[in-house]
Amino acid sequence: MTEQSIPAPPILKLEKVIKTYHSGHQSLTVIRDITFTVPPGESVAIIGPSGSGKTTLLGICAGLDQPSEGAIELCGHRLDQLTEDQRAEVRNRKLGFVFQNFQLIPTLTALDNILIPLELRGDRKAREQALDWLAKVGLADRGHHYPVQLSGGEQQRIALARACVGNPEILFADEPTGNLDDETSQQIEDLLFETHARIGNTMVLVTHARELAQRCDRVLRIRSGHLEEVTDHVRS
Amino acid sequence: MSEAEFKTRHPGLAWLAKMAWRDSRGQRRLLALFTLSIVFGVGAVVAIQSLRSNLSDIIEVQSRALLGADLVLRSQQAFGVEMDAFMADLGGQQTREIRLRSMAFFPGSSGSQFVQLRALDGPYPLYGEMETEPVELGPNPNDWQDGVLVEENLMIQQQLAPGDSIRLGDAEFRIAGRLVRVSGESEVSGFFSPRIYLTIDQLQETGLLQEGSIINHRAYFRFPDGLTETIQEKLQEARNNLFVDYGIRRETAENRQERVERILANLFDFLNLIGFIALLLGGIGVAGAVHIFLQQKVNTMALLRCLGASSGLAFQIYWLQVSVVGMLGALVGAMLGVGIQFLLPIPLRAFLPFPIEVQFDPGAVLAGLLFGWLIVSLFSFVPLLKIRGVSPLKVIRSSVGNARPMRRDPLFWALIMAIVAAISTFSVLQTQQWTYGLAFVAGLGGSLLLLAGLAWLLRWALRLSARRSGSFAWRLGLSNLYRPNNRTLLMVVSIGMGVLLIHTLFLVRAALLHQVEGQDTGDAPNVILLDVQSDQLDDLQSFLSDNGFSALETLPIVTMRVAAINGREMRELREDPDAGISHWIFSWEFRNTFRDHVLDNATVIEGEFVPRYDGPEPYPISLSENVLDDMKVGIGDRISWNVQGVRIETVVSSVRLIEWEVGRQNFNVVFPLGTIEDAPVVYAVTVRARDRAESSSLQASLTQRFPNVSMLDLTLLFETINNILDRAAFVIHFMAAFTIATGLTVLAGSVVTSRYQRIKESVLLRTLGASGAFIRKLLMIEFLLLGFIAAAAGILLSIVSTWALLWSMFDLELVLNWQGSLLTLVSVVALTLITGLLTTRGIASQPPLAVLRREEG
Repeated sequence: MTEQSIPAPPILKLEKVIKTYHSGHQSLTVIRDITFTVPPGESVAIIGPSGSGKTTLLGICAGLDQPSEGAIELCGHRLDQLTEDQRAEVRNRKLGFVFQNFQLIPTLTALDNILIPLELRGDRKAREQALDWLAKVGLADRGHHYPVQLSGGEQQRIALARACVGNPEILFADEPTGNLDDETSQQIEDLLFETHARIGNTMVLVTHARELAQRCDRVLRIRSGHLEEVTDHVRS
Repeated sequence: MSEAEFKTRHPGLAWLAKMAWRDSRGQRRLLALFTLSIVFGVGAVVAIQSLRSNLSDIIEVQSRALLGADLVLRSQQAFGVEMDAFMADLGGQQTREIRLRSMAFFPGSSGSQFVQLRALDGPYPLYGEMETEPVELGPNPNDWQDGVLVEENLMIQQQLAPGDSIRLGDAEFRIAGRLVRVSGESEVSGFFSPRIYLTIDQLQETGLLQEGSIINHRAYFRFPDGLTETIQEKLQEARNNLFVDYGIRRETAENRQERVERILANLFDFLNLIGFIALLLGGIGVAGAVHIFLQQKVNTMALLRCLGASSGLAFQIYWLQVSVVGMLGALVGAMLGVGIQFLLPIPLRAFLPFPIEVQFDPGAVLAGLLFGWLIVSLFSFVPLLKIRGVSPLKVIRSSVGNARPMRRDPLFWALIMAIVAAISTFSVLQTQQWTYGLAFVAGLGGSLLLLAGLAWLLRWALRLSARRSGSFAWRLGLSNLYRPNNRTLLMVVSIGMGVLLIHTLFLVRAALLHQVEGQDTGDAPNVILLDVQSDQLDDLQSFLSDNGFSALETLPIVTMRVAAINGREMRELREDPDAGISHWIFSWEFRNTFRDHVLDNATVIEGEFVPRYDGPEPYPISLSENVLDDMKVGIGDRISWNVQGVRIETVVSSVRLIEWEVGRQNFNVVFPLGTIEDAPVVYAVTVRARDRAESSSLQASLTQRFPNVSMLDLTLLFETINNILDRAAFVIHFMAAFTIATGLTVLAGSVVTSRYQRIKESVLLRTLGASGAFIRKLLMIEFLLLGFIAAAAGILLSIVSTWALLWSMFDLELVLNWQGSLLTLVSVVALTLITGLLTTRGIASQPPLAVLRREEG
């Protein structure tokens, strides 16, 4: 893998990251000595077969998990040196997440779900911003609906609004279209990239979908814990 | 972001409350159901605390009415000139009373009854009230128009009315009215022998004041300024001389108040601890329910963490939910407790020496409320602690476990210690003694563990047997007891604890009654004739044989008091604090006998029993082992007796171990033949009646022929004891039922939480071809087994605990009553089954497609 030479400091930087899981007397290394950087504003897709370590890598990059070895720098913070609560703070201020299974809180309305990251910050203009994002994802009239009353595509739109409402510097997406039919997947993909373009933030997404990966600036493939750049990638 | 920024952010309390409220959507009913587990426990504690506080207030206000006087002096012999002078010197308003037990005959109905006569020479009580019907009769005998007052229960029992006649001894009187209640006396005081009030002059007419009869003399005092220092000094002065000489016991209003308070404190401590068990089990129930609730919330927690909530914030959201719901549960419990507080006095009424006016006691309610909430909060903290370990990674990888196991979390152990400390504190505060309080906690912990162990064993044994030979339905029903998140053991322990309490009480009661009832077999005497005078003995024996009875035992009785022990006068011993002689010895009127043999229910354990003695004093006597320590004597020690003014010297020659049994006469002191036969003697004669009809007929004819002879019918005595135990047991059953109710609410909560899982299973089975009836059968088997395990574990443990209790406290043998145990078992199984089936209603009839679609969605 080769590092690209860019003028601005990277927003995400992994250096010799290793992740090993221990179970009894056995250990399993899922991530092996991975080093890479992501410059601000770039969209990066991580692809790989099931069990290759994609999700683990995403979790480590987003500060949801800690590496066994190596250093991670995200938005200027050394995640491996922060406490869990400090990492939570970083996630709240700098990151947005979109998940395969939407992960909306079932007891909250669509609007309330979007509000959460801002409310956790104590943002006083949270409601206006959330309503704005509700409109941006085309669900202005569904704010008072509960997740169970929304279709899968609608739920993912709400999840996207929640991920973006705090103007995150970097957006992580884990198989964002994995649970949707083709037509809805296409709509969500479009919305995701439109938003990325509109905000101008960085996006790291993990996906099986080749078409989705191809829309990113860069594609990385993970295989048996090793990461490699897909050199023949042509952005669609 | 700087380090400072990391520390300052918090969305605020308002958001916390809003988030907790929003997050509880759709599950508030479920949360409310969880808190039902503590409702009964809090209710029990609040009810007992409130009632206790009410009674304390009443006792404080009515302290003088409890005794009916400022001071009472009592003696088992007439006061005498010297005492009369002393009492005249004390001054104040005085009323004398003579009490004795005798037979009453009712000419109208030809019925008779063993009664207690209370003859007054003035108004009684001097404080408080004597409630009569008609009310104008009141406490002053002068207002009774030469009639007598008869206790209401006796009037009802014998179908008497004011104006009817009653024969007491040789005299016949008109019944002036009913005695409804006397201040300071409970209903129980008239259970064994109903009270009849008359004047001392009327009592003289009856001719019942005879030598040898057990007669109690009392003098009541009311002083204008209460018990002044001068009066107290006079009493103190008389304590070691005059009171010793005349066998006087004194009691002040303060003494009585302390005594009543002590008795009530013991009763309420006991009831409170039973209520506390319900609360504790409820607390464990809530913890289990919160655990399951939080399991359903793990994903939300992980997501909140992922979106930037700190571990503390996530913890606070759920702590707030559980705390608020816990407080609501405690509030409902407190309201229930206030309601019960008004019901509880009904069964207690018979035992209380004053009428109860129950009032709302905010202090007690608040204390119960806060304590209930504390218990819920502490127990809920255990599952809540896990929240801190929920990883945000769980959002993208559901298989991720908690950061670290609970057992390695120091906060978990700190919490367990806090729970134990709270329970111990409550227990110690209740019992007022470290040792008892901690013993209760240890005993409770041991019982819970034993119950859980027994239940586990039973469940295991059932599973083993089902594997080998059980039907498909049986095996499936049984496997439901092992479903994920099952709270089988908790439910079994909760219900089992209630069964343990109720069944232990049932067995103890059965053993006590057996002790009384058991004597009534074969040829053992079941009727005792008391106060038979020497000159009546021959006539009585002829009368008995004419009526088809034979005297089984004829026991001479000579009353006497201790005058000196080993040459030291009782006055001197009274002044010597190191003498160690029990108080009762100084005033007790001993009813001793003489005979030439040891009865078959006694054994000589020391010295030699002397059957006949023709020598000079000291006479060799035999003492019962149980008075040795009280008198501080042993073999060879000398005791001087005062036999109605005549002094007799004796020496202890043997010690007997007596197996005291109801209905069997035995004596603390036995003289040999040839010693005290010439002293004034009365006789007790025992006979056997085949049935109640025969004893009733004997009673009726005996009362007419020998009016002074009292007849004690053991069958009636048994019924009375049964009646008293019935009332006492009701109160304890009432409280123990709270633990069973707690168990059933835990069951209901558990079934509701597993409802969706059950529906899915039911749908799957129905998709595979099972009928609705089969599903219902499965549920029925599950709840039957649950109820059976709980009841069986409780009953088995109660047998062990009863055996230990009877052995250590009553020295009685365990009497198993399989019918009663079976009834308990069936009742508990039925209750469990009904609760289970009610909460699973509709499960068997869910349309499969709807559920499968829901699964897909």
